[in-house]
Amino acid sequence: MTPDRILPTCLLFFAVGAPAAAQEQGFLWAAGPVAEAQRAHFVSILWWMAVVTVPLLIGLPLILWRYRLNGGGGRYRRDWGASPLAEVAIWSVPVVVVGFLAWNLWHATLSLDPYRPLGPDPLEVQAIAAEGHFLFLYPDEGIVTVDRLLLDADRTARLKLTSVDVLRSVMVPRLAGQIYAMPGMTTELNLAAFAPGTYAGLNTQYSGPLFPEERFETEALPETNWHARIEATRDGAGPLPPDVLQRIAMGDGAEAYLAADADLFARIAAPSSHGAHR
Amino acid sequence: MIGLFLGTLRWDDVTFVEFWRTPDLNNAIAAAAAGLLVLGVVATLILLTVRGWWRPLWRDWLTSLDHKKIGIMYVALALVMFARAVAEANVMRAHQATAALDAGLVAPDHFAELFSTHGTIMIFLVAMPLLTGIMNFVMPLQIGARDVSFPLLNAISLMLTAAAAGLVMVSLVLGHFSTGGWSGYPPYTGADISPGEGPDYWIWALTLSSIGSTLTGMNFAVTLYKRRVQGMHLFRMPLFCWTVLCTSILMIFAMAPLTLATLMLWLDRHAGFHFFTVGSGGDMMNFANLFWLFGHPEVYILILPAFGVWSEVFSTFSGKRLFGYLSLVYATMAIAVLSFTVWLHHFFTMGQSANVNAAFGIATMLIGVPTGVKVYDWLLTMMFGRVRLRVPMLFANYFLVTFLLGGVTGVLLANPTVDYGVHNSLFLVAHFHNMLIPGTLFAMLAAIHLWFPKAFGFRLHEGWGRAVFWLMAPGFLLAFMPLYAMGMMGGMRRTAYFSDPLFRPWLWAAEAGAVLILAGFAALVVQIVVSVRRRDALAVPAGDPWDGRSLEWLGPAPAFEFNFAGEPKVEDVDAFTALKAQGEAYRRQETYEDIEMPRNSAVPVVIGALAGLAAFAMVWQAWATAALAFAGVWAVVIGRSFVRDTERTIPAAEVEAAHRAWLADVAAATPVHRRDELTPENRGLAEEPL
Amino acid sequence: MSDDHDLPRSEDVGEAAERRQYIRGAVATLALTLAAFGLVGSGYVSGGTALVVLCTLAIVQIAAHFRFFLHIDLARSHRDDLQLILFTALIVALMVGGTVWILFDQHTRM
Ligand code: HEM
Ligand SMILES: [Cu+2]
Ligand SMILES: [Cu+2]
Repeated sequence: MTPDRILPTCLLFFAVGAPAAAQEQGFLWAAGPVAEAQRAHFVSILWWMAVVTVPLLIGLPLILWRYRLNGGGGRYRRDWGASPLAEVAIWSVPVVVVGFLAWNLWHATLSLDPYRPLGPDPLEVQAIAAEGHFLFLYPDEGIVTVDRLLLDADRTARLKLTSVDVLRSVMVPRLAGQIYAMPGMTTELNLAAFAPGTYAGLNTQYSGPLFPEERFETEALPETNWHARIEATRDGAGPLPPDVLQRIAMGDGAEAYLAADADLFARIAAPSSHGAHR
Repeated sequence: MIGLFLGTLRWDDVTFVEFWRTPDLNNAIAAAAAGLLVLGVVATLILLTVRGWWRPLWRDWLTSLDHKKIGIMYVALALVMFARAVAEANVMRAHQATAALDAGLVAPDHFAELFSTHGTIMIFLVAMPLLTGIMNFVMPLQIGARDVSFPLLNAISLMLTAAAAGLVMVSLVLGHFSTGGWSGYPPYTGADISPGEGPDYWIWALTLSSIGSTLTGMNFAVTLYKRRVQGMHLFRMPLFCWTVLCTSILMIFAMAPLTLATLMLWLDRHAGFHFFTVGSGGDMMNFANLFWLFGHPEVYILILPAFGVWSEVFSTFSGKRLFGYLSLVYATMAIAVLSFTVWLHHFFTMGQSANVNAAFGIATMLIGVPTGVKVYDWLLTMMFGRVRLRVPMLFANYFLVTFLLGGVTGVLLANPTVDYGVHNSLFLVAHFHNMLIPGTLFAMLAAIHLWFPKAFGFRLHEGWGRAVFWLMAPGFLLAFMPLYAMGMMGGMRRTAYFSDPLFRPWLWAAEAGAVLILAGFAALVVQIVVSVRRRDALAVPAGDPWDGRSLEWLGPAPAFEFNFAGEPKVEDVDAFTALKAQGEAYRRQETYEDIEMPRNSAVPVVIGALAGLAAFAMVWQAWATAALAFAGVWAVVIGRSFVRDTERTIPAAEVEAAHRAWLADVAAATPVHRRDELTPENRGLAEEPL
Repeated sequence: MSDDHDLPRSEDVGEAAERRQYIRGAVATLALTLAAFGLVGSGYVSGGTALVVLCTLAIVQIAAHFRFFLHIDLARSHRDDLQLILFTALIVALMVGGTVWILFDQHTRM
């Protein structure tokens, strides 16, 4: 059977060939503690599953060859339909494997809850996902950046998320997993980077024709640079206009604003702002 | 006044008019698709008229309540819909491969319409009718019944499904389908953001088909409980019947949340309700909850019958008893029950607590145990056998290998930790196609190859069948392995264009795979034509082309319309094998009795047509038409309940004549060794086992 | 291939008795429905009380359907029927229980 050979080859190819490419975006190219834990978890599952999959991959070609109709050498026992020993084995091995995997899952899931802070004194950021754009509000710094998330690489960050109109899902794959951003609700995502760098972020949930454009850059800067950058941004920015969302949508938004309007996020995330239906 | 009957439907909604007004590539593609549909319909009408096939079509098929014919019609419907959905997949693939260099083939909204119709059609109008059709044809035969418990209801289910298909087809020509994907989450599909007819097409197509499926589930479950022939205890049912039973139960319970969710969405859209609008006390998250409350059991509805088919295929083409029958039965039941405990894994990322996620994640992985057991039971079924790699067996072994990959990626996705990274990505798309194509689709192709002779009296051409396999098998790998890679590289599903040049080679590979699958489908069509042409050489009138093991192979091919002349004797799981071993399979009967069969009825066609019209009118807010059509449905139902004379008697003499004619065919056939199974010598009589 | 006209003897109570049963059922279920709408419509109950009252009425309604229309009662129910009802209860409990758990948990987190 040819597929028996094609498949492992493909897997191998992806495992070996894909990382060779530059500037990847997925969590396999982890650049933060959460993504790294995801990657490790991913690989450990592959190993555990090998216990169940490898015997089949070996057994199948052997059996097909030995018991083929034309010239197969195997004995023919047309009524062989049960074997207590084999049954015990084929139930107990998966039970054991899934048992270990379940143990693993429980611990990984609890420790990697996206709501769980990754360190003391995180940088607080409020993210508003809108059609085609993301707004990041830094309440302590008093600024707003558009389509760019400025992180201090030496500090963890805590994002509060909401969405203006439809369901979206926010992720910076190389740093951590995603969480939904929902209109009228606030969700949370904790992030951290191992090192300074620029990491792509995006909405993963289809949201309309502009969906492929809903991306942002995450810049993790060394601490001193970060402070300087915030200062510079503050100096160059004008005040946040009340109709900022409309302006950005029309394409005449700025890259950053001064957040005079401190509760923009709270207003958008309030359920009552979404009751206007009809 | 006219508004009441036509609603919001206007000239401008006709796809051709839209193209006339704005003649660009996007509208040209839409108009071409609509044109193909219109041409196809016109050509069919002309063919029916020229050949004088209207009358036989009506008398022998559309009004028939015979479960075998209903099954065949389901499969035919599914194949027609498959042609459209696979063509759409190819347009999406071609678009993504060429997009980013320039604008690609279609506009973003049109791309969204494509993935929405493709997904909706593939699930509800390809996979579901395929398996419902196969179950319809095979299950009553396997339990020794003459028909299902409620033949009229069976036909009504079919016609409701056909009406759903018609509605989705009409959306090609009149207006647009939803752009909200097959899952249709609000608020995107709400009236504020998607005010048009699109989501309503989706809502009513789903409503029609899910009502059809609920009724089918009830019908089949009752049939399996009440219609088994004497001696056929539950634990002597072929494994396929067990999977039908579990599937039916899933259908009964799982379709309701969907019907409810779509109805609530409709109320939100048009009646000022706020089930899913956050500001007014509604909760959009509950839509996801209700949808997947249906959606997860649904994927097991799609895969369990496939497991049943594989079980039959492995044992038949290994010439051997199924290994671990009891294991397989309990594994099937376990999967059916567990499938109601895992739906949250479709929205791990919605923000609930980690312990909720972990509980549902573990429940999901538990399903891996019975599934793993099945795989090894099938492997051991081939052990000590005499394995023949006929077309169904090629698919079965291919499934076994690719299913491992699907299983591994499924366990990965069951881990919230991993899912946070690949949810909504192409990795997920690759995973579910990995289950749906080698799992469901190939199982149904295997089933068609396996049971075609019983339905039509001749085998399908083996060479062309191999062509189907050798196009589709590498096609699947080429089309979907790149998606695993792209997903892990941060490529998301439902993305109209990828600007990252890294994806380009992968997208072209996927495009090539999609073309191979399309070619495989073309080969299937050729195969059917070739087989019909050579039907004399492929004929198996004695009825047992594959040395079958269960009751459906007792009797001629094609089957008697009354299935069995007398009551078959059942003393073993492999009832037919036992009969053959005892030399009782081809015995003449001492006495024959009159047989009562359901009379034909036009009621299902009328109900289907009126329900389809009502749904169409609801889409266009033509309330008066909708009300009239809906009232019509119930008038017909009530009218029918006064019809007392619903059965027709086949006299004993006729039964006897048919039975004798078959026995004569058997006598004329030479028993063939399995080696010669593919030669014209195979007239459907198997050589005595050694 | 049993004939579906012949009922088990225990259920073959004759046409008149059966019709009476159906009429009784129709009256009972209609009354329960009207009671539900009436109580809420008239503003007689509201809030938490309404929830409890409506749930109770709904459960009684289910019981009435079983009793009068599906002919299932404790005394002569068949084992198959009982099994199926228990199974249904299990699945419904899973679906409803899970939904309540999920939605309330989400509610507290956003
Ligand atoms: C035959 C070859 C097939 C090809 C080439 C194909 C291709 C595709 C593509 C390109 C998408 C869109 C992916 C995206 O969102 O980026 C898609 C989505 C989908 N496909 Fe297929 N598909 C095939 C067969 C099937 C089958 C057999 C089924 C089910 C029985 C199926 C069910 C779905 C579903 C449910 C979606 C999701 C739609 C959505 O996002 O709402 N497909 N497929
Ligand atoms: Cu929420
Ligand atoms: Cu699922």
